[in-house]
Amino acid sequence: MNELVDRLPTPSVSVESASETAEDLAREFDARVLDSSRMAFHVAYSVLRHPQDAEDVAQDAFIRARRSFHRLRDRDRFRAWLARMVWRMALDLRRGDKNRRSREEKVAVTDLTPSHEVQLLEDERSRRLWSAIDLLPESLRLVVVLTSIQEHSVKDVASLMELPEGTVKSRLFTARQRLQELLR
Amino acid sequence: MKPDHIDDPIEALRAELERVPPPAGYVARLRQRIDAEAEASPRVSWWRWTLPVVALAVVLLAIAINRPTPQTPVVSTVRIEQPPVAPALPPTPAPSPIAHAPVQGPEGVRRVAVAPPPVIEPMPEIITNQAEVLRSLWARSGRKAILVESSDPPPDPAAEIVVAPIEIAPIVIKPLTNGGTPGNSPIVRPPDRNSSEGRAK
Repeated sequence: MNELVDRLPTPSVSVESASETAEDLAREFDARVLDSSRMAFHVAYSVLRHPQDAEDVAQDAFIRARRSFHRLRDRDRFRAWLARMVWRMALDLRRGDKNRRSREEKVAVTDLTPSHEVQLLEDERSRRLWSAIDLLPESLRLVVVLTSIQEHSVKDVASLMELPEGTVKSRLFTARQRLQELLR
Repeated sequence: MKPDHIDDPIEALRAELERVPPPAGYVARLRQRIDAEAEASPRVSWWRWTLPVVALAVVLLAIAINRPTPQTPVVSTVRIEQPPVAPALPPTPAPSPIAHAPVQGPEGVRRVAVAPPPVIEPMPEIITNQAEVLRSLWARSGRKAILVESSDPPPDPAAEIVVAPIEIAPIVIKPLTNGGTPGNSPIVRPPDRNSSEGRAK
């Protein structure tokens, strides 16, 4: 059910008139939630690498977005606005949570059970990949993450980051090269 | 080739994120929390907006009280008196003072911003009997003197002046050298041989 809900196409909701009621606003925001919840979770997860923390950050970001939603002029930019908000909040949480790294290490050690060889390999790949991504500058990292989420195109990422498509392509090319060097 | 080799990091990250879906019930919990926040928000907004509004009202009240009251604008007024404009009539031979008493215009206070009256250029006319006015002024001043009208010419005061002869003392010239006071006679000295002129020669 959630999968189906999360894969709903982006609603082309235009800016409502000034006479819209609170119910209209709530209905529109609900549609935005269904559209952007999966993206918000993955953006938070790409920073925090912890599902529960990612969900908490995504929920906090949606609550904050709900409070300011009526002030958002161009509501078609909601996804971009939310993505940047989630990214910032996740980074803040990661910086503030000093115990996170030790907990991640503990989880990693727990997962290293010899009975699952394939799982081990996948975990190792995942660890190397995330380590390389962490070494990227922030501007490149967000481009990589947003490109990887929900098969966003370059145009989608440019829209989310409010950057020209050429800039996104350039950053993506640079990020890919650096990641390949780091993973070699 | 290593088993953990990554060809395309972007594709690998995409697969990694697909491998980690949101937890079950994530969207339901999210909507539930948003609904709870929306229900609680009116009370919060009431508290949020009351304090700033009250503070703003207090500040405005304080400003209004402490502000000096502006003085009422002075409306400059003038007492407009009707100018003594006489009709253009032929001059009368001896206008009486009563007839030419100053005309008191209609008393009233009017604003300055009145449309200018139409320009009326009166004809030049004698409007005062100067002799009579002077007489009345003299009478009001206490009658310190009596004005007598007479056709005889007044006596010439210059005729009574007696010019006395002026006596001038004779001038006595005293000689400078003989018999003068010691301080008044000039001292004539022969040229000094030791002076600068004598040495130059």
